[in-house]
Amino acid sequence: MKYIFFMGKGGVGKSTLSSLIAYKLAKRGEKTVLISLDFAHNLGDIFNMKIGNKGVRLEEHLDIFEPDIDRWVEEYLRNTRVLIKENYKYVSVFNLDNMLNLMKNSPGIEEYAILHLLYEKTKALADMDYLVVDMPPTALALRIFALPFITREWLKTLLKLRKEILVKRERIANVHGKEKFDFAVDEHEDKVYRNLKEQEEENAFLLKLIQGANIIPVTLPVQLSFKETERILKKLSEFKLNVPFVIVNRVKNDEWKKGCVCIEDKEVKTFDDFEREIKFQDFDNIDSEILQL
Amino acid sequence: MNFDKIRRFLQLLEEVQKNKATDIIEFELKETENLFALITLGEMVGYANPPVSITLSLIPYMEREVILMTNRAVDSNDKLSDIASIMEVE
Repeated sequence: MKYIFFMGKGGVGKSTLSSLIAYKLAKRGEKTVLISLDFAHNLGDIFNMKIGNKGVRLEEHLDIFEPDIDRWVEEYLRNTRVLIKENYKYVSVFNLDNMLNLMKNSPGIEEYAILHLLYEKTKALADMDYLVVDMPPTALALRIFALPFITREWLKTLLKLRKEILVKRERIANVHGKEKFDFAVDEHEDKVYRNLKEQEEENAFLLKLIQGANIIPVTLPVQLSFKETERILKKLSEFKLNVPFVIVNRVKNDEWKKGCVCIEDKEVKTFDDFEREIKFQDFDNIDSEILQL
Repeated sequence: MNFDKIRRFLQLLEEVQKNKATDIIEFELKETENLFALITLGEMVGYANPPVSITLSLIPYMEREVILMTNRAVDSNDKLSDIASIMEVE
């Protein structure tokens, strides 16, 4: 599967562009999934229909999803609460309700929810040709791209530390006999170690997905939007992510060059260029075509 | 009868020796487990923390560490006696 992420400042046309591209890819016969990972979904507004969590098959080759991220976070915390109650002998060791309520608004939970949704959708739709993603505005989108890199480092450290714990436990169990302890001594028995390995596996999948994806920043031909795009490019290059080009939306020809700062070291394309790039044949009336759906 | 006594004495001796052999490792283990708990659950006590996704995914399996961390916090004023007991200082 090929992945295309559209990102940029709010209101630059990420949703419109991702919808157009997904629609055209599907028309070309590519099995395409369009997914909005923005909290404020507007794919439904573009296609003038209710899409929601379960998604809609718009065309023979086009499926659209607008996952309910808040609901997913709540469900995830509810499941965590059930797991804690199942696994803990003394749940009263901390105030569970208070802790989980606090976690609901904890920094990072939205990024994780979005990435996990992406993971689940990609796994479930592995036979598709294209996944087109409408990302949330810049700040959150960059944190989403950064999270798997940070998580990889943390997991590496925690797995190492956990192994040390298991080695020490095993030494003690060898002397006293394993049956005297209620802790796990090897990697297969230890639920914490297993969970860390599962997280590592999911994270490696997401890292590979992000590193193999085309991330396309969208900008408007105004200075403020260009400045933000420069920051996006800088951040994405720090993570060595693939940015094939930038789209300057709502312009024709070379208009955008007037009064704008050029984006350094990056080929800038207009919407028309982008159309030619992926060899779309009948792009002219695409807006009206889509609005009629 | 005498054999029984001797056997029990030897068992006791063995137990004492085993405990001596593992005291330091057990102390190290508790410290490492506590460190693991502080790193993963530290947000609740004001430490720098890993991404919340890691914490939430692990917490259902970390009762032992949560209890250990809570106990360590309660005993935190008495670290010296902890170390003294390991070093067999009366």
